[in-house]
Amino acid sequence: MANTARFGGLVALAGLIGLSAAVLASGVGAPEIGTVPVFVLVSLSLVVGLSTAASP
Amino acid sequence: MVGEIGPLVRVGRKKLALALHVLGGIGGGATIGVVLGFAGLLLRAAVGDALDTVFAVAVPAALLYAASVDLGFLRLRPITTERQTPGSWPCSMGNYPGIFAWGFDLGLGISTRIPYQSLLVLPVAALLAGDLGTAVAVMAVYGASRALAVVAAVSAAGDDFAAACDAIQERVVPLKRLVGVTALVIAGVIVIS
Repeated sequence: MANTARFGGLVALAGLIGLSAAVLASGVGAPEIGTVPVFVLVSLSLVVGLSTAASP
Repeated sequence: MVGEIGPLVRVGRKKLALALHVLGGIGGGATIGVVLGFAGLLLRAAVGDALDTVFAVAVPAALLYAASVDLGFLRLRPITTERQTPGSWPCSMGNYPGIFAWGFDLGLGISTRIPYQSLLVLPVAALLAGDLGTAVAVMAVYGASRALAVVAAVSAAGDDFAAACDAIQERVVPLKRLVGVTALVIAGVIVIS
């Protein structure tokens, strides 16, 4: 149970880092491609990164 | 990586070692993000707003290709390098610098074996965004989340790292499908937006 909670907490931390980075990038930089693509690309980064623990 | 780093973190201070791995991941991702971001700024200076059109066409197309390969619809040979992070680094650099360097190397994303073709879209999108902040955000988040996934797996493994590796390997195909479906959804969102 403790391991599951820790696992969930780390995944949530990754999500928080992703959200913060997306907010910073889209808010401060005002990217030409728009805010939505920044958020979806950061989401893809999160999913791909979190799914890659098995890779050497 | 779980099998490599798991036994190592038992040698010294576990939390410090895992924190260094995450810092390395963020550092690696941010570094390649800065490089791609500056290259993107140069591209934007060269082609102007046409870069946004290139982004809107090339990134969804790349996502479609990646999703098709990851989901098994396209039976093409995946684009990848076979390089892996050198297992000798903790010996040659010391445990903590070695663990940091592993995170940095993995955070670069494209310097080691590419398990999902969708991963290739990240540097392409970071380049074509033509914006430094976006490139750094996309690649640093990748580096951070990849390192945090290793930390989560090591933390959840207890002392049985071999069993943790087996459990992860059993989930590779479902994870590949998850990544593929996410890539498809994101391609759709980019086209619509």
